[in-house]
Amino acid sequence: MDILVCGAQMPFVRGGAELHQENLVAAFVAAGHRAELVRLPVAWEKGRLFDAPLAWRLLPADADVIVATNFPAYFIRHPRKVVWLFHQHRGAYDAADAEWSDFDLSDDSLETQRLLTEWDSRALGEAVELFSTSAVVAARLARYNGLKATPLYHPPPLFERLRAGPFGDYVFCATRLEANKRPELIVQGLAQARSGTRAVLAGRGDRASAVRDTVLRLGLADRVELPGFVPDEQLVELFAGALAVVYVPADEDYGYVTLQAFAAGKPVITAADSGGTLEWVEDGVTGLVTDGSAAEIGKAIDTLAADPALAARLGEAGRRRVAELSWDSVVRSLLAPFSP
Amino acid sequence: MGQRGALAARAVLAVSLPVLALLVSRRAPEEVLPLLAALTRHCSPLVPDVGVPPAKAALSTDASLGAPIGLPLALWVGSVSDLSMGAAVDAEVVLTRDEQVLAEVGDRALWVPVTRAPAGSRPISPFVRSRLRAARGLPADVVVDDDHDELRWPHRAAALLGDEIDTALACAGSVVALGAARVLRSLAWGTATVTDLATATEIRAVDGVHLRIAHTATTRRQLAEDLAADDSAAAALGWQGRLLVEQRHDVDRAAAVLARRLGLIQARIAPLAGPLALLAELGTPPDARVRARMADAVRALTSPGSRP
Repeated sequence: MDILVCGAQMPFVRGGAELHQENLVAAFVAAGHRAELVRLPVAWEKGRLFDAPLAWRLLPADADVIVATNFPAYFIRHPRKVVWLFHQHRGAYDAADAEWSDFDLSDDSLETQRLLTEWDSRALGEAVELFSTSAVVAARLARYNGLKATPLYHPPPLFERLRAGPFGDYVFCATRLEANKRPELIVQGLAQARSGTRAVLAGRGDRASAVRDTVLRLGLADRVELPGFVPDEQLVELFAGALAVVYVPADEDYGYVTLQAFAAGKPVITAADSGGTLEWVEDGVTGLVTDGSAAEIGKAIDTLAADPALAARLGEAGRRRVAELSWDSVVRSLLAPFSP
Repeated sequence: MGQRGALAARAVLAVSLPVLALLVSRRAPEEVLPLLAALTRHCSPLVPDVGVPPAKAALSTDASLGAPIGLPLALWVGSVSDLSMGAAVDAEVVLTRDEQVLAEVGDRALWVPVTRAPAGSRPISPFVRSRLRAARGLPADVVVDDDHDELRWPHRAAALLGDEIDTALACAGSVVALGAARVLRSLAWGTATVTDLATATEIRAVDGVHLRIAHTATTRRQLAEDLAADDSAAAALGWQGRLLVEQRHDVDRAAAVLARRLGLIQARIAPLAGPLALLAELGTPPDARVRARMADAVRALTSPGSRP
């Protein structure tokens, strides 16, 4: 089949969504289909919010199947449209009260939210099948749009290459250093740990200098390493040698870090409000779920540092938990409505 | 030119909309009349006669009249027994008010409503409702009673009038309503609605899909309070309820859908007709900013004075 994977483009930005879309195209090609990625720039601010949806609406989509992945790509029209939803415009929905959202309680904001909800419900409702990347995304769709989606899980980047290794003296996290990932909280948690465990926080982002400041302020310069961008080979090594992964984002959609940790046989310390991460991290089974306070995160780090056998047991359970993830099953699910 | 020819010529001049040939054996079934009236916004339904301009499509109320050659046909089918006739097989659109016909025909079928959606109603999700209430300092979960002669806001003695009713239906967490008109008004605003069995049956609403049904005032009230506290359940019912109004109870929308399916949308000759139709399909209000932005985007590409 000829398949177009459709996604939004933030010019000059490359993150998890772009990688996800490219991996999906590769998976379709590997399954014997012709597949290409179509991306259009998107603007998120209220005044231009509907421009890109309208542009998608007008696009000629000459293909056998369309797989739309995020706002506003799912506005594309096609009789064989499948949506695999990464996320909607979160600034208008669950993050409407976030600092970075330009929505407030003005009449203009409220009508924009109302109309966006209506447009979203109609465009998403057209899909032959509606999937989401996680149960968190499905729950948002249900709450905000009254639509049902089936979570469809996929393997994270480097899934095949990640491997277990010795349980070292550091906790690890590889993430964009952005506000919603709460990287400072990891540092604050480490400051509360009494075991002397180190931390390696890989990644770049707007919060990089704030994280560095927090490290210095808390006197952790000798215990926290901030290597910035890390190439894949080094990333695999860092996962393999970690005691555990600490990942405490705010209401994450899916969270590759958790799945990568499990693929490397490492337990994950997370927070009760971390969203999609909690679909994978089960307290005392595949990791430790804290209340999200620095004190509890520190205590969780100490628990694993004091009992590496426990870390190994939880990590192994995590590894088994993700063992069945595959792109083959993703491709089969997305194309199931069109199978003879 | 005789008198009849002169009248026909005047008719040609008067007709600016595409002609829809009406094929009616005796009297058109009453259920179709509101649709024919609504269609006049998009086309001129005329009985074929000398001097009447050539039709772009045809609408027949009787399968035994056959299908006109070369014209897309919409055919009224009252019951499944008519589906075996040739015209029913050839018709682009099968118009009906019979559930069995609808199920048999699938995508070619179009339900023929006999009522209009309440003017100005727009679907509002529970999330936006909660923000509307926050913006206006209203209580968090409001259940509105529309089960008496008048619609009442909680803790307010006076009945609501005029625009106040729309405001109440836009802000309410849920509504208890009895009677077809009141329930349809509530559903048109995408409000999670609780009613009784008789009303739900009358408007063909399904319990748990479009609204909730309860048999006593107390249980209706309890269900409504539960819905007001459950965004996901209220959102699902509200959206499906709105779609029920659009698909089964809005003759204007049905006329627009029929005109589009028969290729009668006159505005398609204008450059922005396609995008404008898309905006309408998505429920975009006339004063929405995106309409102005679209017009701005193409203004420099079109001659001054040309049609949008």
